[in-house]
Amino acid sequence: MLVSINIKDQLSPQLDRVKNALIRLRPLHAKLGGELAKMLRKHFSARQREPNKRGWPKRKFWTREGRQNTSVTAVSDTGAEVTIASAAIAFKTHGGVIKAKRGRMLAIPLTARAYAAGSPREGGIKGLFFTKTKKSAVLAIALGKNKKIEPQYALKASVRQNTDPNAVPAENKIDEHVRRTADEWLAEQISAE
Amino acid sequence: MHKIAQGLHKVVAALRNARERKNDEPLKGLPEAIERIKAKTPISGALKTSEWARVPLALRERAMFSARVESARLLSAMQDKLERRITLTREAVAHGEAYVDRSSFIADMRKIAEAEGLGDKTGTITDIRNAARLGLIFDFQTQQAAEYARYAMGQDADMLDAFPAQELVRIEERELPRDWLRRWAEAGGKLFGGRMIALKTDPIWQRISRFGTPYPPFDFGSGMGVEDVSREEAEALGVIQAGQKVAPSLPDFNAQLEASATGIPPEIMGKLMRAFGNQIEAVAGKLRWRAQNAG
Repeated sequence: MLVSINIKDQLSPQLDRVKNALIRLRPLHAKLGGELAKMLRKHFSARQREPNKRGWPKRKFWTREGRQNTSVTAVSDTGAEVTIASAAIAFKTHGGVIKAKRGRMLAIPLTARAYAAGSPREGGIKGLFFTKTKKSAVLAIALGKNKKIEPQYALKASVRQNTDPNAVPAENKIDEHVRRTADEWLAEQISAE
Repeated sequence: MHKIAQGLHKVVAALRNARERKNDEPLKGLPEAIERIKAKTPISGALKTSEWARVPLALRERAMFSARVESARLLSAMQDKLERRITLTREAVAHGEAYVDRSSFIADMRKIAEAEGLGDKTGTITDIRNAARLGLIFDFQTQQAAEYARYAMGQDADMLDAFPAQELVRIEERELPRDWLRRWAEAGGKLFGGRMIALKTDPIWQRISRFGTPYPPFDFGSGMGVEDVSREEAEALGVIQAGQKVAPSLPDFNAQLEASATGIPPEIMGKLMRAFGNQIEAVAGKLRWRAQNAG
């Protein structure tokens, strides 16, 4: 007795969709690049919400240097590029020595007022004068009737900035996010009507 | 699956390369932001902010100006600094080379303004020497350039398909925030779960903008920005129907120039003609770009 078994191919339409999706990967790369850019912007927004370590009023560093300058800059069939167009973020990622270049010394803020005012060259604090304390040369102001001297900026030729390990998200978190996005995209292609 | 793996490798490679980048390798600005800032012409003129608002968007988009600033030298210096900032090009300074940042922009522009005898001596926001005023100029120009770059990239067909919508979100806190929900509603915007979301091509974005542009900033010092909404989320919220296609739409400011030039007061028209020189021409009472400068 001959047993005849027919196997009906019900998978071809799905396989065709997957195959077609894999021929042209640009849509996937657009999705991956966009999701990575979103993730980075969210990361910078979260950093912006962290309190200042000294309890000073925050400046808008992570928003203006990080979030604002993060975007997908290229998409193709072979990949996507996400750019964080900020020298300051790059420096935080790598760390290094900051040397005075515009003047002879760097002005390091010592008070919340100086931090908020920015560089002395911006003119935010009137009446600054040069003087020396036991620790270093400073720019100071004289306060009140007694003209009490309050240092506002320490003057230094250079400072070392340590690498900020959380300047951008950890590599494994990025990989995980990108892979999850790719998996979801592929699942969507397979299940599409 | 191998092709997907290759794609993943490329996407994360950019960030990995950033981590491994040596300090002397050149940094890269956002391409469309660079293109936009380089296309601007310094325009000096004693126009108030309210008068500049009446200038056609196509001209405002091409102009580097600041209300009531007549110094061509100052405006050229601003253009140069902002271009260096956006292209991440170092400039020569007293002891080497340095990137332009907000602080150096303010300090250097103050110096020029004082040397030119500019400013209304009030020390307030109307005084071009005022640090807050200069900071606003820097913040506005750099944000607008970066947001334009993101907007232009977002109009790529595949990017738009993946992220067809965006949400108006607060990105910086303000002591006295504007009522954006009300502004959104008055401009005809819909809410989705209380969120201000619309397709990227929706005219709502130009309607909520003080400047008529479909990308941030939407007002001076607003603290507002936009964030992409994925197709999946947009479909789930009902912003877009499943499978609905959104056609890319970059606003054609040049086409709008000719239509919107009517009604410009003669004194402003004269200043614009002098300022833009041979880039524009007046024909039959309408302004248009000369062919070689269009686009």
